[in-house]
Amino acid sequence: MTFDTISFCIFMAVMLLVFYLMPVKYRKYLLFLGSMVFYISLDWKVFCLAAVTVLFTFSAGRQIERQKEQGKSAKGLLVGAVVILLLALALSKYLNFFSELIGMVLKLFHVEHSGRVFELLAMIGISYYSLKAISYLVEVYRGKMKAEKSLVSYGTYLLFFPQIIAGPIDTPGSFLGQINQPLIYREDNIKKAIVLIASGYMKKLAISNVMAGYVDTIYASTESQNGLSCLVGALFYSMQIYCDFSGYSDISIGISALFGIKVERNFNCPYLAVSIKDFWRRWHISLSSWLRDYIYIPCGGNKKGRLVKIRNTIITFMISGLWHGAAFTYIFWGLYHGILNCFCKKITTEAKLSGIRHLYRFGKILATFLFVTVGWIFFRAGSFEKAFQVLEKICTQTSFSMDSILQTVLVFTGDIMSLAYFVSSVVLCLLLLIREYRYTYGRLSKASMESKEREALGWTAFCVFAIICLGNFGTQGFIYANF
Amino acid sequence: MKKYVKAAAVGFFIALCFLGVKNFIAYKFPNSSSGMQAAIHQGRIDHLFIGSSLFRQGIDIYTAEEMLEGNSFVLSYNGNQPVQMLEELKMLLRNDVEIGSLYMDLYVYSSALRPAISDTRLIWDLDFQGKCRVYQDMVTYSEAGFSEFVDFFIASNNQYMIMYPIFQAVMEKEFYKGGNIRETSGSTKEILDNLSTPGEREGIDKTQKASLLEIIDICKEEDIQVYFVEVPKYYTLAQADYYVRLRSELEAVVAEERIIKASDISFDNKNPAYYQDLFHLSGEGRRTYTKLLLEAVSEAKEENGE
Repeated sequence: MTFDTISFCIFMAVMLLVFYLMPVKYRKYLLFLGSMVFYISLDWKVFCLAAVTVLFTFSAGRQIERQKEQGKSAKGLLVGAVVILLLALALSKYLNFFSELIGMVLKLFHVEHSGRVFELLAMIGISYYSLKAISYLVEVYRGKMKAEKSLVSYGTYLLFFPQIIAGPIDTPGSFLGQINQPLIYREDNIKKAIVLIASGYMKKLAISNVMAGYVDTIYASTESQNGLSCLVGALFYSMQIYCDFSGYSDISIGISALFGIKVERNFNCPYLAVSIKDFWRRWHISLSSWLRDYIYIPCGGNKKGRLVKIRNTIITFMISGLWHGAAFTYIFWGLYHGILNCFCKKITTEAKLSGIRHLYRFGKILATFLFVTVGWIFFRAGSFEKAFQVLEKICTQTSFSMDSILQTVLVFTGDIMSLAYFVSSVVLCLLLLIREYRYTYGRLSKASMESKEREALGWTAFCVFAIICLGNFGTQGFIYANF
Repeated sequence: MKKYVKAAAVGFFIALCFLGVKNFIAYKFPNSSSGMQAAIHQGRIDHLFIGSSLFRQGIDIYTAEEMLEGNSFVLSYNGNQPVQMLEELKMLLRNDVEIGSLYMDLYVYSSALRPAISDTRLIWDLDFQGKCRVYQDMVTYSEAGFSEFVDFFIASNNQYMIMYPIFQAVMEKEFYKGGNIRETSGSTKEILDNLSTPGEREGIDKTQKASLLEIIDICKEEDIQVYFVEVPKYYTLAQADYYVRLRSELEAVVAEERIIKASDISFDNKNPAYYQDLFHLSGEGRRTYTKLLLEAVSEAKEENGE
């Protein structure tokens, strides 16, 4: 039961109806119950582990606070709890990866090793609720918040159904502060929710799902594609992953708003970033913030000299890569961004002449986008061999001859109809990026509330039309649910 | 909040109108170069080729016009199955198209599948009656459900409709009387020899068999000469055991009709320049094959005293 299924729509309709009919004081219990039902519907075995995690970390948080109140050191307890959480995460995601790694090393010494240990359950949500639990325990330890007394509130925080599959990784203080207040109807929340949910589904169904078909075809047979196809495949994947993930986040934030929970945005027009550092302030903001607060800063951040800063940056990004999946390509992707971040200077100079200011900014945006796209090639390719093959073809075999262009746009059996899908998905991307540009740098950034509302209304109508008429309702799922 | 709900409702209403136009009216949009409307527009087709992408890539319309007397037309859709080819024939006859000779694509793989649509352009081209019949076959024989309904009536061809004027202009340059006129180059031996062949199929589907027999009956009633044509596959596929078995089974269904097998003509299916992949011919392959095919047809007619 993911967001793009009929069963989820029915589930949401029932939840909303019951939520607004029931007395305010019982609403958080409904959210807790609904979250459990949602998670059980995904996989009851995985839910059991999640339930154990809720109980375990809830108790650990209470115990940490108790020990601090008694003047005892709670560091051991914190470390122990975090280690157990990371162990569970590592076992579910990385056991076979490290086992294969050991196998590769042993092979060098001619020692046979089967490689894979055993097939584990795909633990949906563990990457997200584990990080939430860790941030909760650390915040309690640091004294920045009180340990939660209500298991229901805490359980809802960890397993809140709009966020369980692919985030955002909400901060404990923000969420628990809201869930323990009356969850009442607010018109602003509903308006925001309608726009976000329409926009999110449009991005997912009308852009990401359509581009996925093209990208999958290219990456399934890179050896027979030309350079232009590989280039377009790489660009399309950049948009696919953005629309998939930001679409999910929009839907998640919108649904949370329907239930009176305000969640901070997870994406802030990342492909309009003017530098790599700027990109990482705009992409998957909740994860970036988590890594900054619980990895980068505790390691020393940028306070202990340039070399330490470089080390911390690279470690943080490599952990980010590893978090995405158990493969060397993900780690390399993290390393790539780490290195770019280390050596990317914050470009503060602006062009003096207003006439070329936009052009200068556009150049920075384009350059940043291309660097990010190169990283995505490794992310998507699944192997270094394929990634380097794609890069090599882009660099050496890209031509704009008619044959090359036709092979690129008619990638499905050479049929002219696929041109319609190709062009429509490009047009939708451009409309999305233009809208984001207008909100970030253009007229809408300084517009009045009435203008913004008019724009939001038009965008909502367009998104509903695009979902119904241009949406691909295939069962691809959400990319970031796999991490 | 009302404004936002109204905005969503407006979007929904526009979408409904759009879908209504697409399902009930759009098949009549002008199209002179390919597809059903272009075929209906011909009025009389002396030599009609109905088939899959194998025919689209395999029959050269210019060669056909040179070698055959009268009007020729290629009606092709990706993965076209006998079930759909039957509906296409019926729709042409419903629209009073006179057909002299009919050449049917004897495509083993599509005949081994249960009824399903591979090419959404077919959905676009069929009138509402044809659409419903094809969908009904999918429900009856392929357990099509709600998601297929969405794919069929809601999701298909919307992009095409929005950009119709642009695509029509492109299609006019790509097709002539349904035949693909774009020049495509062949592949290489290294690539073709290493392409994997499609998986095995159980056997020819019963519904597809029944459709072929119904096509034969209609042709007899309408006095249409029908030929079943196998477009030659690249040799690695053509000699695969399961392909040979399926082909024999399919040929047995239409055994009493005129069949022009790939082995009946001297087409070199080991020449990589003739092939884009294991199934589809290049421009050079298309011209060569069409010439050899039509020579074989002419010989067959002479033998039968026609």
